[in-house]
Amino acid sequence: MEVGENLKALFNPRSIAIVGASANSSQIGGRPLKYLLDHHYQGLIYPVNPKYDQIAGLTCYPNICSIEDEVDLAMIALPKQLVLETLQECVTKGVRSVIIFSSGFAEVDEEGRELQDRIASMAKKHGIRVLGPNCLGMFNVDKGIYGTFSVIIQEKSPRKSNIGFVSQSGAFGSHVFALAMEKHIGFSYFVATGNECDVDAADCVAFLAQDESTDVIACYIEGAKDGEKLINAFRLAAERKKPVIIMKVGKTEVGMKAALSHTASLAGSDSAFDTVFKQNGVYRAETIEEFLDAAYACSISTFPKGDRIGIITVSGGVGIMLADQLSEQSLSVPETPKDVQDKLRSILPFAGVNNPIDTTAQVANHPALLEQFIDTVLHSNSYDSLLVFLAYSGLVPNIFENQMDIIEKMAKKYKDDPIVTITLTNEASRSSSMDRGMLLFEDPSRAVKAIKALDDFRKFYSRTKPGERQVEKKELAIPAHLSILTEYESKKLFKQYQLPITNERLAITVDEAVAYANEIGYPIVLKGMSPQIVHKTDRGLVQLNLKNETEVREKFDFITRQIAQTKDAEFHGILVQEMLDKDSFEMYIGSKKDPTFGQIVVVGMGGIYIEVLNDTVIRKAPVTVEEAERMLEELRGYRLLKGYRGKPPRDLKALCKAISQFSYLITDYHDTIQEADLNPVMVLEEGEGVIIADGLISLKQTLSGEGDKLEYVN
Amino acid sequence: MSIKDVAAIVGVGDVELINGRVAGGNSVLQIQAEAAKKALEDAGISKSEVDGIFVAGTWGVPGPGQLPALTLAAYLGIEPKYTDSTQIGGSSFEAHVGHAAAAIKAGLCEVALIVYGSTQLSDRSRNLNPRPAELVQQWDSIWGLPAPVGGYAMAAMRHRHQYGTKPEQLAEIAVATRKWAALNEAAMMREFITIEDVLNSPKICDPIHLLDCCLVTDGAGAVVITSKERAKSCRKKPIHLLGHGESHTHWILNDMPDLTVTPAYHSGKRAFEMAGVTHKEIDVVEIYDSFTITVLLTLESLGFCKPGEGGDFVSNQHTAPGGDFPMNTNGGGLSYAHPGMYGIFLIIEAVRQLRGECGIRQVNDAKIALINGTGGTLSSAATCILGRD
Repeated sequence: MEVGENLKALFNPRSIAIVGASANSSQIGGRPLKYLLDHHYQGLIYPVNPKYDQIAGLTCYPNICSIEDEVDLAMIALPKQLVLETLQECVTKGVRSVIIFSSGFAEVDEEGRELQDRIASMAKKHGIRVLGPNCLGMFNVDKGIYGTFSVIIQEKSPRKSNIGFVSQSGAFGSHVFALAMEKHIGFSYFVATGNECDVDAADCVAFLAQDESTDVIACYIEGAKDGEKLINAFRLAAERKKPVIIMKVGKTEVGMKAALSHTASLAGSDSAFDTVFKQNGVYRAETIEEFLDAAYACSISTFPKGDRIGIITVSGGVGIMLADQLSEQSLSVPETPKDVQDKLRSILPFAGVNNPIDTTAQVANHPALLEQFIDTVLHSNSYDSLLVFLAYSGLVPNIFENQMDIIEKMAKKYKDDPIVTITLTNEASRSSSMDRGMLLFEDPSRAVKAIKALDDFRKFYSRTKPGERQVEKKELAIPAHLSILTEYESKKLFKQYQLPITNERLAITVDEAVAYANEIGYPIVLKGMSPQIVHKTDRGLVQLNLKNETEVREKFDFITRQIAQTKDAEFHGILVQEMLDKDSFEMYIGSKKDPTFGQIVVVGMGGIYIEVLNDTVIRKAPVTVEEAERMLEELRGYRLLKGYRGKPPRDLKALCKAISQFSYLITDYHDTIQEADLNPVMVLEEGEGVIIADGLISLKQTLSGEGDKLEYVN
Repeated sequence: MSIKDVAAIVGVGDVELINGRVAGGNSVLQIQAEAAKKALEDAGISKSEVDGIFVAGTWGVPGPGQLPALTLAAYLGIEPKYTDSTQIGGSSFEAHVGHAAAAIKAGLCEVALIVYGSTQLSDRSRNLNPRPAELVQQWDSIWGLPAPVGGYAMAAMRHRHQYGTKPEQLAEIAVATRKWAALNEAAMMREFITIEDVLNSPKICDPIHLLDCCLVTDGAGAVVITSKERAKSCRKKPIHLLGHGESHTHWILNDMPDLTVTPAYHSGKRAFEMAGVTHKEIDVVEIYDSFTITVLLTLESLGFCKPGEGGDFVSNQHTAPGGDFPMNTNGGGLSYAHPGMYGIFLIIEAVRQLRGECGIRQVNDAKIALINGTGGTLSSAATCILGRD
């Protein structure tokens, strides 16, 4: 995913034109000019407005084309009626990028949408990058570029940091931005993408992933037009180990949309987003507080080496609470090694020396104690990060200054081990701690969440390289005229993707059936094949455990009649299938199509249980064997697969391989396959493999050729 | 006695065009029926109430007289008490508005329906050939003057000679009009053009370039006018006829009293006098734009600027969106549609602007509109000044 020169020009312009510029800084066209001047933007500024000759001492141009030099970015602050023609002028001038503040487009009505589409197609045709319309704009804090009409920066200038912030909503974005400013958290970039007629959140994430001044990406989204593009952006960030923290809203709305299809309960759209985040190491925050805390923690801290957390606390109670909450987040709070306990006791005889380590309030009176405690604990190499709870000392300047000195010193000494300070602060102590680059929270639970976020990223980045696909893409002959393939047809395709299926043959006549039954060996299963009858069992088309030729002849006849008596059902033969009698565990592997991300693979406990217990896990396809393993681990019934109460462990390796192979099949043929499932997959004992007993593929109904019309017959 | 403020336009309707053509190969009768139905629905008036009918067009059953009013009224199932087939070219419908108001005032009818339709593009019936050199046409047809563009080209040449008006200035009108079309989903030509594009487009008849000319499209439109009293119970707010004037001064260009002054001079003067408004009070203007020169001459003739100053008046995209003089806000005959007699669309767009129905191209707070139709070879003009409550 290349970040083009024109997108770079949007974020880092060497020259900026403001179309609709005004000398009045209370107007939308006046603010960006004032901000650029106030923040000493070093590039060239060209105000454009035919009404003026000069604005703020700068030459004002009647139109874009009358500017002699190149223009990297044009900000359009004009009524919506004039936007399209101004964009056309920008194209003529060769302007690289444009920010459109104007509103009244797709967010308003169909007519607005139409105009926006025209902007989008003009942008696409000419390669000019367009941010907006209906957007708050873009901040480049380092260069003092505030391409915005927002008043958020009127009072004070933002801090610069390594957090890049993308928001699809201007209002959400500026709320978070203002909140961050209150907390002295800075940014490298802030961009509000508005209606996203061209530049979207994925473009911005991709840019920030490749931007040298950005290490952390915070992103607020409501949806994505192009799921694949978003995933690619996440991958770019992951490759560079730049944490992406996301806030995604629209759960219920998306849920409603997903409920339109009967598959909604398995793979609704928000759950698809959720799994895409998970698969790509994106941390999903649930609240604004968590969103900002995680971004802030990642921006300051290194990632810990492991999940062992040490606690040093002035309060035994908070120590216990922290231990509880860390455990609940699946982080470990290991006991203090014996020798370390002794050492701590020698420093302070009445301290609680087993993690959580209780220094009591003595550290307030004797600052040196804090240093000795931290030094001793981290020196032991038994902990990967440290939480230091100091109660309210952040409100007592003379104590806290010393403590900050110590923590800073220790952070330098143990720079691989994150130290999180927890104390109440006032404006002065907060500002001072931020200047020192300390990781500090006022509330213990928020510190736990932040550590959890850091640990999630550690785990994701320490994953071994994803495995290779298990099976090459195969050329499949898919019968295009059908909408649903029979079990027999479906399994022929599964087999080509090296999925192990039951031993079976298709019989058209009863004599064939008898011959095949003898070949496969009794007991045998007969299944009637008719593409119109999806639920075979309901129509009595599945006859199990037939023991001899007489039974085969009798049931063959019965199934044939059943199909003949079903309206519009075609007879596609009768499948003669081996009867599985080995001890096995039934699983389900299936697919759903997500409107944003395409093929989703669903794994759950099989047979009828999938409908009753709904114990399923989803991933965006394809998945590697390793990812399939993580899927199984998430199932509530996972322990059943591992063996319990005398039941043997199942062949998880073969199951994971099957999940991965299946996921590649649906990915390779995403254009053709609407849905597919393997149900049940019989998982045999460890080392014995899996067998697919039944399965189905439904095909996407497409028009066979251009110009064809669907004819509706009522 | 005046027809000021006695009648109001209460319904307008038109038909969708795809690349300038009516959908499905519908006939000229079908599309007029569709436009009439939409206009009546827009008004909230049933067809049975229509008692006055106004028809003009270039279509008709071949044979003596063609009789479009008879054909159309019979097709629509209307037996009017009052009928008017005034045919003075593209301005006919602005004339009809005044005639309808007069008939309503005289009590001759109460609900008047003005209808127009053309399938000239689908029929490929339009060309540049001069009319047969018969009757008075003998004075210009025999010299090969293409019709009607040749007459307009001569007027443009005269204006250039007399006042130094530049082709660039005429092109300003085409460029500005196209910007309005870009904002109108229904317009046929919506890609932006530049003055260079106009000047570089092929010359059709010196000094008129291709992009100085109106489009050739199909189209149909209808307008419902009724008494002030009846208008009160219509579906939408009435648009009142405040002033009206009509005139024709010649047919062939040879007879035009002054090649730089159109009959809008007379019709405009009477309309302004009747309405009692000044030029400054007009919020939006819809001017017949068969050619860019038509607009320039009309603006001067109506008194929006002095004779000879039209070129300066339209310069710097004065009439474009965002300019001070919103004109031809649907994209005009130059860029929206032109089925041969464009005048009905001037009324429809003005009414929609005054109602505030124009979405993105809406002129802010438009209260008073002026429309001016032109017909023949700058031969006829009719002006209406419309206003909302």
